[in-house]
Amino acid sequence: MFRRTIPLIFAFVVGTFMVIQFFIPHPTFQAIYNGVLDWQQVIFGFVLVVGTLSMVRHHVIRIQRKKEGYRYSMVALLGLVSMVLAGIIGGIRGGPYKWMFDYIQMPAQSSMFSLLAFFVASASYRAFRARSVTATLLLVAGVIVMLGRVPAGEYIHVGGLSLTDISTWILDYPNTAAKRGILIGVGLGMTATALKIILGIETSYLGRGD
Amino acid sequence: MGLPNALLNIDRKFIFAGVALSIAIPLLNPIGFGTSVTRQVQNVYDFVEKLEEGSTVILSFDYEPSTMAELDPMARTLLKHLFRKKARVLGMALLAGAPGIAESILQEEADAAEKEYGIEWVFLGYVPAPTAAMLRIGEDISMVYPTDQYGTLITEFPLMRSVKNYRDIDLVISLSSTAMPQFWAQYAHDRYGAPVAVGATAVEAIRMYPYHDSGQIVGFLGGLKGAAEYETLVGQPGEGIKGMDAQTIAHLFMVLMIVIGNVGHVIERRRGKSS
Amino acid sequence: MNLSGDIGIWVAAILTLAVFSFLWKDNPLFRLAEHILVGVSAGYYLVQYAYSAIYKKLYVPLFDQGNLLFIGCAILGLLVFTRLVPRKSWLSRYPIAFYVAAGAGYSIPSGLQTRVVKQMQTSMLNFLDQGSLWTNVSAFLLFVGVISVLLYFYFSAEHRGAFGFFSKIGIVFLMIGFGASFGYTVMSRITLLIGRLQFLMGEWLGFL
Repeated sequence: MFRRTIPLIFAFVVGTFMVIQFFIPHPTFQAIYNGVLDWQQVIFGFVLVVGTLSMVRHHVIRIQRKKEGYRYSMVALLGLVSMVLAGIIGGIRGGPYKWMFDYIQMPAQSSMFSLLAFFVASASYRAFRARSVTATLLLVAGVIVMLGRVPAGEYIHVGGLSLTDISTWILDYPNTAAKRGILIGVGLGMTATALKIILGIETSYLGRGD
Repeated sequence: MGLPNALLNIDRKFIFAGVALSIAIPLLNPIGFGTSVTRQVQNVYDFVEKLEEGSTVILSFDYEPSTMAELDPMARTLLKHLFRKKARVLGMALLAGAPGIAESILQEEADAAEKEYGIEWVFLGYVPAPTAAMLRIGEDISMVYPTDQYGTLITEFPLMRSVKNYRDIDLVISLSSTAMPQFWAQYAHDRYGAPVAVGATAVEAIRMYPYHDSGQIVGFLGGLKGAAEYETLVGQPGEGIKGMDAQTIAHLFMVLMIVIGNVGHVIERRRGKSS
Repeated sequence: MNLSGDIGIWVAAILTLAVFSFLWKDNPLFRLAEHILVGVSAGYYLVQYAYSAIYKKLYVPLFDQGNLLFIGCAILGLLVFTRLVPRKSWLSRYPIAFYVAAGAGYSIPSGLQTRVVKQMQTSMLNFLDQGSLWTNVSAFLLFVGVISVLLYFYFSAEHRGAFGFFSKIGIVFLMIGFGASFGYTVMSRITLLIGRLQFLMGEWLGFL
């Protein structure tokens, strides 16, 4: 009961309150609503701390059991400990903490993501084919937007209109229609999931076990 | 190995080299393409342009180093414009990797514009639980940020004494590589009525069209092109305009590769049919 | 060429090249850079989480401002740590239930208003008050597009007849939308590489 039922009742009470407070601007409701938001931020902070500690535990176990590539786990832990010590000893304003962010985290993280430029080029060459009418539509729209959204599009004209004009129209109308349709679907889906959480139908966030 | 095979089997390392060169060469030899301004960017510019002296603007850095190439130029050009308009800027961050980026950019731009910390700008820093923070700012910002990023109580800053919630905020700008601008529109605009403008990576900007069309956001800057457009309007070229030549040539290279792949595909299909 | 003399720039350049070495093939240098990134980022985040959640949002209200209500959330927050102790991990369900349910609660009315009501309202009203004939036609097309995309995603009825016709129109809009997304994705990825090459060729090698 304390392991599953009470947490679900707790979720129902908190969730239901947060729905109805939207419609009742009473000072008492407002005060509780503010309190819930304050608590939510602190709890989420703790969740993030625990999540990072779980990652530390994962690497410690790999090192203890000498799993394949455990030396890389040692590197990861060394990086983590150095950064934490830099933050604690030198503070978060400037100093080694900021230096490590500027010259290690920033270049490594941005380089990692920049690799995608190469892979998106290779993948487009291999997979972006006009195999059917719908695939051709996707291809043509993609190429027009690709060219229309850079200055080159202003110099290429089709039927008296520049590719920039055509891409602007595509983005403003057919694209907006597609994105709006998806957005409305997502909105309904999110609402249904939120209701299932409050009503105790969706319980996966509690984890497995009783 | 006929023509279609040759067209269909270009080694990926050649494609990688082509991508790198199509960016490197224009960076070394700038062409100087100009850029036209879209309605979405013009709307943001016009809104900032109409801000009165002493207006208060939240600039939320909702991105991490992975996308700084797209969003840093936006942050810089927006700050230049805001400081020129004598707006007061509250910098904040809703992703944990953002404070390091935000503090450098805010400090550099504030120094360049000779703005005083605590009076004309402040860096409130990072807080967890973004949606709860957005909602709570609607009631009392001091409960979201009891201190600035460096631990000074915000009540000690003259700037913060006149700011309680969104009613005292003239514009919220979210610079983001995530869905965060959609939540800013949902909570800051739709619930509390604060005008929201967005600077988004190109991947995210495409999702902003319905929100702009419905008036839930003032406008948006999309990707490096958005930054280049805003730099053009502000009249101070920066990284956005500098990158446009390379962006253009790289796009042309991508289209060329797609065309080669499709020509090979069509020839192969025709040969398959005739045989 | 004006090579940088800053050790930080050199560290950043070596890390950038180590990451780029993956383009040749997966190799120890890349994996080293990858794990340095994982460790350093986790360390950076951990300091930010602890500083913002525990110091700024808990210590300051509780001890500097004397707000005793924060004792409750301190207890709930500490319960999250039981997640790391398998036998007691069920206790962490209380704070997680609180967090998830509160978010679900406030997202229902505002989510419906923002994503559903406002979007439908705009689609229906916009084509009535646009300027020229062309913008009116385009706005009408947008309205038809939204409806047909929604019909395409309705799977409780067979896509036949008039319903099938409109769902096919929905596919056309979706494909154009996905094509536009692809174009923007390419734009995004290329920019990220421009940023790195600007760093290597400018700040490090001094060519730019």
